[in-house]
Amino acid sequence: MEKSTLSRVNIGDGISFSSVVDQRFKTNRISINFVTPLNKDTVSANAILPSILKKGHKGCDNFTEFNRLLENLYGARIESYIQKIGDLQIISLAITCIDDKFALENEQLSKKAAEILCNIALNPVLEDGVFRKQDVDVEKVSLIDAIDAEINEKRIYAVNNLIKLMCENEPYGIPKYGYKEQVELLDGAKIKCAYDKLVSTARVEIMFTGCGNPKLAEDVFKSIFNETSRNYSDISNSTIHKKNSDISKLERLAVNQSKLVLGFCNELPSNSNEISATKLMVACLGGTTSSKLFLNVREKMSLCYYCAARYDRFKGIMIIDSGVENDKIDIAKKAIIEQLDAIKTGDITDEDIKNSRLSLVNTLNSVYDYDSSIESWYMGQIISGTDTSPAKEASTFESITKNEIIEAAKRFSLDSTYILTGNEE
Amino acid sequence: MNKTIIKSDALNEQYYSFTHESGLEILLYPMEGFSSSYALFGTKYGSIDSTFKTQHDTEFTTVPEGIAHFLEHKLFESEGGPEFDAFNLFAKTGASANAFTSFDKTCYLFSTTENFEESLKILLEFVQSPYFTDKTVEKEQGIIGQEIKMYEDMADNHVFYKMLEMMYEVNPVRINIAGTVESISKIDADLLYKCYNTFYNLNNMVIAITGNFDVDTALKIIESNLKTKEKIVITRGEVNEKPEVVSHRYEEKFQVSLPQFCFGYKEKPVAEKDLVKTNILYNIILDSVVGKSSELYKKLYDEGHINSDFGKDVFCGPNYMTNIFSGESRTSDVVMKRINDALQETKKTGISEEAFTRLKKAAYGHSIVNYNDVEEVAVNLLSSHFLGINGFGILDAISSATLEEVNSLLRSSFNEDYISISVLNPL
Repeated sequence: MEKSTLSRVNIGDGISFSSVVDQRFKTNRISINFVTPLNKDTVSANAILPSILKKGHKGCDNFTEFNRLLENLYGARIESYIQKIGDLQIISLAITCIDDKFALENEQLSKKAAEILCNIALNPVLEDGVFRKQDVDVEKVSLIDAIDAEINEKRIYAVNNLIKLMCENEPYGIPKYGYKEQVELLDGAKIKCAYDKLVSTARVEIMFTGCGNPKLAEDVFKSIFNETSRNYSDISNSTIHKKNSDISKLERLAVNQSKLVLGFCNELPSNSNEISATKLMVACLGGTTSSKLFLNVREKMSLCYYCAARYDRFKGIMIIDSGVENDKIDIAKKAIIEQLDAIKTGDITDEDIKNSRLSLVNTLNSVYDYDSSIESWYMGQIISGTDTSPAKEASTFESITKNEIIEAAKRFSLDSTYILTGNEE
Repeated sequence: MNKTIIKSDALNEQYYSFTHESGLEILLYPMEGFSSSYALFGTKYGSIDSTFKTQHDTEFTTVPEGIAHFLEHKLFESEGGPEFDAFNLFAKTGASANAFTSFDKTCYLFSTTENFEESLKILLEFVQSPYFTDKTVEKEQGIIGQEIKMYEDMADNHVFYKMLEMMYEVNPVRINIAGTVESISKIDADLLYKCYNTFYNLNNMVIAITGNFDVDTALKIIESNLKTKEKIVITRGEVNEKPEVVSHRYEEKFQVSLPQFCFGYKEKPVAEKDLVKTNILYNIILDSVVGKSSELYKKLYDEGHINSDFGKDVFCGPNYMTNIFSGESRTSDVVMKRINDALQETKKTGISEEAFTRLKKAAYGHSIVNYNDVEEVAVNLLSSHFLGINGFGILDAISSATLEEVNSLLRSSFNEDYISISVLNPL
């Protein structure tokens, strides 16, 4: 049997429970993920939900007491986060706890962990039927701070601004935490409304990864969802980005190092073979330390400290981001585009392709070694409606030819440029 | 070589330890069922080791700031040219390679699911084959200069180092690991060789391998690829740091959305062998006083003084020990005052038995989680060895911790005269 295979069952209308049981791990990780279309009207209220929900649940509504409960569960960890995958917003809560076999007094840790996650997600703390004012007020400030804090991580800030520029008129261009102005208008009732809508209509994906018995967790969730009314309809797939005609934006801040981010577009939907060829092409271009961008733009020309390419298969977009000296932006942009052009004209060796393939296969085979990467992998598969294991994906690269890589490169053209640079002297 | 088997009953796992005649420590931890093998080859040499001598030197040498990190970059280059650079060689095996320099060590690593043997040979070869020329040094100054500028734009990095500068007068821990653009301009090939020949002696090094590999195969490859030289005995410069801080406060305008703060208590350093235990005891204290399960955390959070970015840490190593609090806040002085008040109060009352038991249980759980992960296990093995304990030492230290030890450490720490804070305010 292949390693770490996914088992998936339907436990309600648009609700699935997936599990990967693996005795190598010493923990059990369970996550509940509400998958919903990115929408300007709902994004902000959805974004605030995880931080409010993770503070406790009905019957354990004091944050301090709730954390003491987690500490007594051998330091079980709760995570809450928002993801953006294609045109979808995913609102997630997760718990990780050591397995029962490591409990020092035979406690039933995994069942308890599942109950806690289920309760914080589906039995929230309410007051008069809405979220408590004190929780809402604090988390509104926190979310606004998080939206503003994007600027603190300049590399991420620059990439996010490229996406906003490139996909301005698409859901993908909506920031995953929403908008400050919208957050300011939220209150306990509005958030409760958003929560009810999410629980009723979102696609729900529950993931279990660990060494324990997933049936315990499955039964806990099945039982609570039996009591939950649903109004689910299928969620559409993400749409491929439509090309802009080479737009650009320059922003000035007090920075020592400039950020140059280029967005390339592959306008037409790709079949699975073309997607594999694109992934391999992107690896050759800028996915490894033997890629064209690393060897030429960084090492030979010393233009960038980092210069990397990545591909978003949901949107058909490739992003190349780099950290460059303030006075070398134009030269760096030219050099980066030259590397892509080189592949388009066939300037790529069999050795380059072989090395990139090896690197991709290594990365894919490593997915099995971490519970978080197993979960992340299979969530991506579920969202795209595919059922490919990391090993199977690795095998698709074996048959990709040099011509297919060249054709993959030719499908990309420059769409948008974002530059973050220092203030004028 | 003699083989020592180190076992953990709690985890039902074991690993093998060998000491080569050169002094190199070899730690091999097979992890059944994992796809990756992870190898970490490290030297006990970091940014704090700026002054040193060997048994052959009469005088101490002091080197430019940032040289340990600079050396790490240069080691990937080969005398044979770019075709033989380490990254290029690893590309042919598919291994993912990297390196890091910290305050007290430098490590070179790869992770791979195939071609383990070839990758291991590459790792052993390139780390033991230095090649530095003034021309290649000059080229690297450009790249590292950009890396330094990238870090200068990172608020959390900047606020932390400014706090260290306020706290420590002479201790080299106050120096940025990468140095400055100015300090790295003073590095030349001769200095790199001096540092290399001192610290990259096998007597000062460890190789740790975890995951999917065969112990006998790995051992054979290591033994056949070691370049044994005379054992170097290193004397590291003494650090005469006074207990007082240099300055209590630093403020600066910076490109941040909210003010960021970092404050710490300068504590008495402890011997290396006691670092792991002391770290655990301090973490219990910090969790008890201002962790998420404390009343103080909830008050500070609900009143808007801290947000989910708030963190606390025990920052410690050879010759330095600091309890640090950091985060974003419009009222960092309030945060500092309230945490300090709570610490001083808790010094009088002591931490309760209930809190201690609960936090010890949580610490045990967190340490078990670290053994899920080929990378975490390798880093733990290597770091623990440099501190004189075995790879399961952290579990033992947690089990043996007592409430009396925690309260005794609490009473002798957190002197409010020894606090430094740095604050970055928005432009």
